[in-house]
Amino acid sequence: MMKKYIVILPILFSSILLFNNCEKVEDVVDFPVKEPTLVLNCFFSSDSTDWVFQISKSLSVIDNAELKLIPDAKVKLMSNNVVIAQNITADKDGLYRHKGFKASPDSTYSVEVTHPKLKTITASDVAVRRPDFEVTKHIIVDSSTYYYDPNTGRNYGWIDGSMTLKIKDDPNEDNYYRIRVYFYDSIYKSTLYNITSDNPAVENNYYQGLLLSDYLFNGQSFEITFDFEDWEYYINKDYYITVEAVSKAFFYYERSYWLFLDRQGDPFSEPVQIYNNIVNGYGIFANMLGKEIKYPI
Amino acid sequence: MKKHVVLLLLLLSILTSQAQKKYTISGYISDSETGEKLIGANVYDKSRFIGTTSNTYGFFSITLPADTYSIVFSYLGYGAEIKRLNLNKNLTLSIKLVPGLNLAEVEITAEQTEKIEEMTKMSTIKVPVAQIKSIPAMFGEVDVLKALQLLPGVQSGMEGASGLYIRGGGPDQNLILLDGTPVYNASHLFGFFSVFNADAIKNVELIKGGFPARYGGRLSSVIDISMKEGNTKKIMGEGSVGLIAAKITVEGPIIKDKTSFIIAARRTYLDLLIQPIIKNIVGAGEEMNAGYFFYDLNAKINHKFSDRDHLYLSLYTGNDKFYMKQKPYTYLYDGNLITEEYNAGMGWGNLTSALRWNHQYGAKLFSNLTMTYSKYGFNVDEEESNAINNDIESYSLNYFSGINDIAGKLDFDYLPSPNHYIKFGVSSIYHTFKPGANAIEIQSSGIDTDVVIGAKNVYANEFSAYVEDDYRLTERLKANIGVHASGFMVNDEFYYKVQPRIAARYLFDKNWSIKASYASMQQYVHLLTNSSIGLPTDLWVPSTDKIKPQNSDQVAIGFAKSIKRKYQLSIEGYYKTMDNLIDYVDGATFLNSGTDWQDKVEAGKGRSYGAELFFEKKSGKTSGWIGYTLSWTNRQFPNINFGEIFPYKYDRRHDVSIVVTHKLGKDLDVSATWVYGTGNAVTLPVVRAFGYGDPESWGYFNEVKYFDKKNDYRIAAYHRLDLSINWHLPSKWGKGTINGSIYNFYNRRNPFFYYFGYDNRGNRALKRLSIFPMIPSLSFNFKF
Repeated sequence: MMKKYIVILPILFSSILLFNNCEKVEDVVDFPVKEPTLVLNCFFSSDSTDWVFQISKSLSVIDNAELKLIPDAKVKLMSNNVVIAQNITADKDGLYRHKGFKASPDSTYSVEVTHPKLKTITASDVAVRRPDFEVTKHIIVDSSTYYYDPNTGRNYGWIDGSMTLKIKDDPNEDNYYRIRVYFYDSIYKSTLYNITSDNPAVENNYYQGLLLSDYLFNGQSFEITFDFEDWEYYINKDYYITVEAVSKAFFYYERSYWLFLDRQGDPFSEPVQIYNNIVNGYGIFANMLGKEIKYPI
Repeated sequence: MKKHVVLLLLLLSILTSQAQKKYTISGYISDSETGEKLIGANVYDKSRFIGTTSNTYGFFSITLPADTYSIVFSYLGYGAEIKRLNLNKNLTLSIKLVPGLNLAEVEITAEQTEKIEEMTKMSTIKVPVAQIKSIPAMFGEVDVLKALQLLPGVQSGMEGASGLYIRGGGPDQNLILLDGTPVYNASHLFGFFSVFNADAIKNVELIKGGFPARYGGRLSSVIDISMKEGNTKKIMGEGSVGLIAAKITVEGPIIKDKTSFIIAARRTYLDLLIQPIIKNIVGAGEEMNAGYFFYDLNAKINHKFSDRDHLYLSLYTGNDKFYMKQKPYTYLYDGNLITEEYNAGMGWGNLTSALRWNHQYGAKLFSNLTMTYSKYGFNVDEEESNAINNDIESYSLNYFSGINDIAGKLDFDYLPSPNHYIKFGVSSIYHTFKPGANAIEIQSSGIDTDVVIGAKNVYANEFSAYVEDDYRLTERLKANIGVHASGFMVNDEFYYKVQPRIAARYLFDKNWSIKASYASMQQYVHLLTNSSIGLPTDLWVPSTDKIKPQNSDQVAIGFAKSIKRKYQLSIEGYYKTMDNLIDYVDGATFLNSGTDWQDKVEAGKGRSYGAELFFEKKSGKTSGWIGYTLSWTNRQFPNINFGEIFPYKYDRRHDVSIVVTHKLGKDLDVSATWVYGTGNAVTLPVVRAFGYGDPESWGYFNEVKYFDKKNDYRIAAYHRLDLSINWHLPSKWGKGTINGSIYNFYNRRNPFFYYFGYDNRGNRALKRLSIFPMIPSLSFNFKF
């Protein structure tokens, strides 16, 4: 009797061939196509009279077209609902600019972008106050020059150091900060990418600087130590530390934007939702105000 | 003073004389052919409408006034036994019920099982193993957890997976007990198969709400699985040869009616079958051995020392293993003899073991002492070596994570009268969490480097105590009232919670009742699970000073009704809130192993509510059920979706399952299941746009993708029809059964994974990957 059943086994094994063609890929034809909207990107510093607006059009994620700047939009800029400038048009490079007006702390700045074919978008942000901080310690471990370029007249070398700052935080509001280290001369500016801190208040180490919120030190004098190192071509020149107060919108956008770029192509990554404070569109309109201190090497 | 003593003695004598008029009938109920204890068998006095049920070990006890009784002992699928007893002393009985050849041949009486409307517990479903075996199964592999997915309130995860999402909870919130030991990862092959070999299982019970106080440690469900004890009468065996796996179970007495054993083993042989395909892919010249397999081994031995003492030792071990081995490849290059070798593998598996001692103190008090050891581990290893002449350079990486538990538990059942069934006990678990570490060994130029990078082991103590009483307040009103208290100590942090539980039923008439329940639950362990690809890299982690224990409160209300003795209907509504749930933050990735897991997650809350309908026919030629769930489940985390509420991935508005088994003749039965579920909620970007980096640096014109809300896109609905036919062939040596089944009969392309790619014309498109088309399979099952 058993023998009779054993003849069934080859039939079972032949079914294994099914495994070869199990998976199938199909196009999802009913995926909703999102209509294009205006995209506005603008960081404005309260130290500068220059306003630069990058305006483009969003495309559906399944649209084949290339992203492009839009030259035929108009920008209106307001401060506390009073118009500062309107009908700002694009320059030759596609960017929209306004000069001659500096943002003031605690004022609300709004922007409205209109376009003949696309829905009007708006955004606003409150300008931040200048941060209050001091450098309590700075150490340069290494600033060796490895190479001198006679063509540029620059020294190339390695910079390795650490710094401790004391930030006096305002207890009456949520505050956000960005810390960066860089070198520059009259033409080029070079930001150090390798700036790290294990301080728990630091929320992002992917960015070319440190982003932190006052969640853990609200209203206190807060000390933070960080290390920096990089290969630089301004070695033996001065280096600069900037601490910027940034708006909440700036903080959230920068944190998510750089994280998004860092995680592209990682199949194991959780999705990254990029912050957006543009009404009826996408992008960012956010303020920052910094304080810079120069240190000679 | 003398007056008081006289009064006291008088009172005691009255109480004693009252007590003397009551006697206890106690004992065990078992299968007459195999000696297996029957769990939940009914013990019922026909004339007084009072009774009890046997516990997990087949023990029962009922205390009644001295009189003459007709006590019915019954169990579904078995012939009932009626004993006429003249109760004038305590009686100890050993009841042996005769199994019917199949469910249809057994006459069903109203008392056969405790009727659904009479039970105080709600949100609880028992699925007979025989029924689980008759349900169509993918590749013919009977799967306990997939059978549970067909019940209302239980949702499956991705296509083909055996994960359970119960009333809006995650798979980590299910307490899966195998002989009282928690199983941390109950799946093989990324969840396509569960670890439970149905041939070794006696009983499966699912509790979704109204949790009795004896259970704790998880928020969403208890899946209590009992292994068979082994035939105490004769050697028996059963097994099967299927499309992807073969299994065999042998059980029998070591000492007849005293000591028995069962051993069950299963192994897949896909790796052996696909070797020619792999050789074809790799091509000539290189020799590579690669494949995947999993195996299970269940073993149990039990010994009856006396009518009052039983000892059980049970063991489960199972492992999954992917492997790739490149045989040493030697060649000449630039006058040097070079040898290359590469091996890689990935494995995960469970070990559970339990030693249990039952002791009966008198006729009313039963105890069970359980000692368990369990572990779950996951590891990835890679070894690469290159030898130039005799100079060897090698590199090996081993990533490992897991959890080990050592636990002790003492439970008591006390049955003072038919109006009370009191359970109480204590337990303690010593956890060792291994939250992921890399061991790296490098040998180069004669120098060995050996380092371990990653999180250190975390040790924690979890303990609990409980008491509950299934209290018959009146003939119509019965309540299970209890309290579960638990504590957790880890890294100088101490968490505890007192969790009240109540479930009650009110009988409106003989056949229907209204039920309500409330349960507070606390869970001290968390599972970090990746939402992009389901992998066994999922990590069990403890509550810490940063990550608090999860807790939930669930209320449920419903009604239950028996119709014409053959049908059962229950409708329930529930509302559940959950706090301190954890989820990965945006951008968290398995590849970023240098980051502490606590920095990759954050805590939030969840809410789930809905209604469930369950209509079941348990007996007759045609049996099965219809289940329907209408539900909503969402989550809220401070920094995910910018703090806004979003739907849980497995938020399914509608979930339907229909299961039918029909006996066509003595040797032939057919079954069908149809399932439908609203599509899962997933996160997909909707637009492309310019991002905005630093104007003075890179990133100024980078393209980014925006999505408006997390889990805002609904993938296609899931539905599928499975069919199977069983042809039973009795023979001299036993019984053979040929099972033919068709998974996904109408070849529905159910979604498994979505990604963005390009269509045939080169246009950007959203692509849907489906993995299981219509799959016919055959298996041969035998019993001797």
